[in-house]
Amino acid sequence: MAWTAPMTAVAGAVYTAAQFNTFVRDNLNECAPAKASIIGSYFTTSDDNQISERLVEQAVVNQQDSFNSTSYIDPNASPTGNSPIAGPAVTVQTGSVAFVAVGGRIGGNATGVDSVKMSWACSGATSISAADNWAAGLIKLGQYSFAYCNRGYLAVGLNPGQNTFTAKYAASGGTGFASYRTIVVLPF
Amino acid sequence: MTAVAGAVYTAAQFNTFIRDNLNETLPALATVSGNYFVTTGTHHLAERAVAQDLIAVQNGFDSTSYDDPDLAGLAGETITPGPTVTMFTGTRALVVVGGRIGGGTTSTQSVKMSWEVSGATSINASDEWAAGCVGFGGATTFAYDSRAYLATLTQGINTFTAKYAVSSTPGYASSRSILVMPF
Repeated sequence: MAWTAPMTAVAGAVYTAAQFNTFVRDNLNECAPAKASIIGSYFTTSDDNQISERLVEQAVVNQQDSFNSTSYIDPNASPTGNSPIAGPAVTVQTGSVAFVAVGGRIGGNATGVDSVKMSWACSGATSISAADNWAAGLIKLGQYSFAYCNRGYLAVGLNPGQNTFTAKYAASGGTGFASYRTIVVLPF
Repeated sequence: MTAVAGAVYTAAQFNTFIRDNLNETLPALATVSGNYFVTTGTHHLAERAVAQDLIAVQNGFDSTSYDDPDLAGLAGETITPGPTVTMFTGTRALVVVGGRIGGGTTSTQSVKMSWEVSGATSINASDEWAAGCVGFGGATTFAYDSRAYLATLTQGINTFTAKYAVSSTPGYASSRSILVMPF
């Protein structure tokens, strides 16, 4: 069903069942209460005279993992002795825009690291590679220096649909480390 | 209205209680994909759009009070003020600024990126909503970081512009973004 501009009633004219179904029933079914299904969600415009329910999502990886690539990758080692954990990642239904925030405890180790960065990539309906323009992290902070830092950024030009946002990591001049890693996506 | 059995349901009642009320609902107000809805008064909703501006190039700044960048980047990049966004807002907006922020070839005590508002509202840039770093020590030490803050505003067309400050030697910022989510 789609929204139809409500009719204007005229005194003396017959108000038909078809008019009720089109202008009242079908339009009410396009309104927020008819579409509300998930506690904590909200409504955005998905097209002209069309709204959609959206849900903010977050994922967390607490384990400290490391990475030694100058291009953005998943963590490829862990000082914990466990296997490194990729992500965090969330999959959400988005429109063309979403607010994405990544952050964590990010830094170097025994050797000073030139740069340690946590960014995000998008896959699914949209393909976006991780980039410095929306990264959190540090440059030349020295040995064993970490920051709890984050970066909020608006992802635009998304293809509406199921999009997966995954944290990616890069380091230069040594090995970077990150723990308490979070990603939040607020889709519009 | 509350309908009563046996009473005549008039065209005027339909137009007031059905047509006009339907025209105040979200699908009637929805126009642009990616927008969202806020309450602007009792039983009154409005569509809002989140906006962002990004300036990727690095610029420098050497003022202890918040100002536009006034120095080229370390690689000679052209000075570009901002980023900035202009939009209609209600009385509140979430503002997020961030970037790659730090010192130059000499150590800098503090390097900060904040924002000001002009237009319907006048707010000066302040440390209270700044991103940046203090006392990092080494030269060419940077943080990729951002700061979110809820601005209290006068409703109308408001312009949000990133501003920069240091406490000693020049600071530098690149990948500079400002995001405003109006309510």
